[in-house]
Amino acid sequence: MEWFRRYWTKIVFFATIVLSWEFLVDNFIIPTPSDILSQFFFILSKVRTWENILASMQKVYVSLAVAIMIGLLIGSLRYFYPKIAEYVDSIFYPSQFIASAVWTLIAIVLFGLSWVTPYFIIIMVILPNLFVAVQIGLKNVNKQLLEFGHSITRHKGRLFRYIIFPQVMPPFFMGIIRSNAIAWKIVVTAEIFIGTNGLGFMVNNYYRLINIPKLFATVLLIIIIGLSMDYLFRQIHRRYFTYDNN
Amino acid sequence: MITIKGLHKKYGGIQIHKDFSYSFEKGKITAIVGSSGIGKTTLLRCIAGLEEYEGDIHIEGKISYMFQEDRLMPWLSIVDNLFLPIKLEGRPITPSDRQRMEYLVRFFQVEEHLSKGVNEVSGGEKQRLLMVRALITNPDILILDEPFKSLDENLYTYIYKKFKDYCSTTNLTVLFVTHHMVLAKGCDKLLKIA
Repeated sequence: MEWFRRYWTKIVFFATIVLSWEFLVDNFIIPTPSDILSQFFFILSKVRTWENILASMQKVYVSLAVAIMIGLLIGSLRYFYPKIAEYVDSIFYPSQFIASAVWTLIAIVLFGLSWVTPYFIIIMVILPNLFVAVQIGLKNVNKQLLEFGHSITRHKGRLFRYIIFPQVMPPFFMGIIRSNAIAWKIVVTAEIFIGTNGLGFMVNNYYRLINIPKLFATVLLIIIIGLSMDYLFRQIHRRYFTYDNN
Repeated sequence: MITIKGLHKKYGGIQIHKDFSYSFEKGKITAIVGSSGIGKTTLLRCIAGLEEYEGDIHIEGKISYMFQEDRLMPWLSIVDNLFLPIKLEGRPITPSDRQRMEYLVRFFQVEEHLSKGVNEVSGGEKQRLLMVRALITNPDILILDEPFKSLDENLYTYIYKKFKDYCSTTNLTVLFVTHHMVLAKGCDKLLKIA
């Protein structure tokens, strides 16, 4: 019962909110938690829901993988060719202030309502996030450890592989965790407006059909998937990229 | 063998070394002594190529540098830390490297600490592990920049004694910065920087 002693205040708080919602809120306006839960299990029993989950996950994780590769490439460029990186900086750094809605419009102009559009939007929105994470990682490389490397070799590739890269990875992976959350927000928004499948498409569909319990159930599904992936990424970060520097 | 001729080194307008010349003899332990801030570490850093300088430093052989701080990579296991210099040299780890490590960890009596985490070993154990790391690539020249400074007197003397025993079996040239005058006088050569 150790976990209960640890979390009982949170459990009581959460239960109070859910029970108040169940019994005090007019279910004509907002569906009750029990309605949402029953609809949640109903939509999960449909094959089409799983296809939509896979469609959204594919967009999020393919985009994230591409953004990670570009982020690491830019990171490497910053280390190996700092002069060129200055020019790349001047393009990527300001792009973090462009709203995702603006990228959506740009994507529609560039690609129309094609399959590329959601990928493009996700990549463009999360890329500055990863870019800044690499920047922080490189800036905080422990100079003493790097100097130890310099006392043995001047080979930039080996210094990067054995001393710099492992130090860049913890902040970079935190950037990936943040990007995962952002990517889920963007994919759902993109699918609501331009999707033909995915969880955002489901949300839009239930909205048009005025099936609010199913709309809420889909939102609950999105939250559960997002939290699960977030938990998975945090476990990877804790296991592989948390170093005890004491 | 290290020959220094006319070394000039400035730090932000302050002259640290002016026309400094010296030859470190091959296979000897040279203790480098002098008051704090006189430029002992700067001299070692110039020799190791970690500082820019004016003058001529001629080095024959491979250098290994043991710093004042431990500089162990916290993301690596102890064993991987010990093999890191070989990887940084761009060589694969060979069976003879493994044999050498086994010999060194036995010699410095740190076998039982290999499975521990980097931050699970004590100061004295860490220094002996660092000694193994410094010697793993079989260097010709070893630079010791007050590596045992943070240890207590007994441990300091014990590790230094172990190290000296090791040196007696090799032809290693050692540059050893220390404030410990008793140990310094016991070295083959003494360089006083004033």
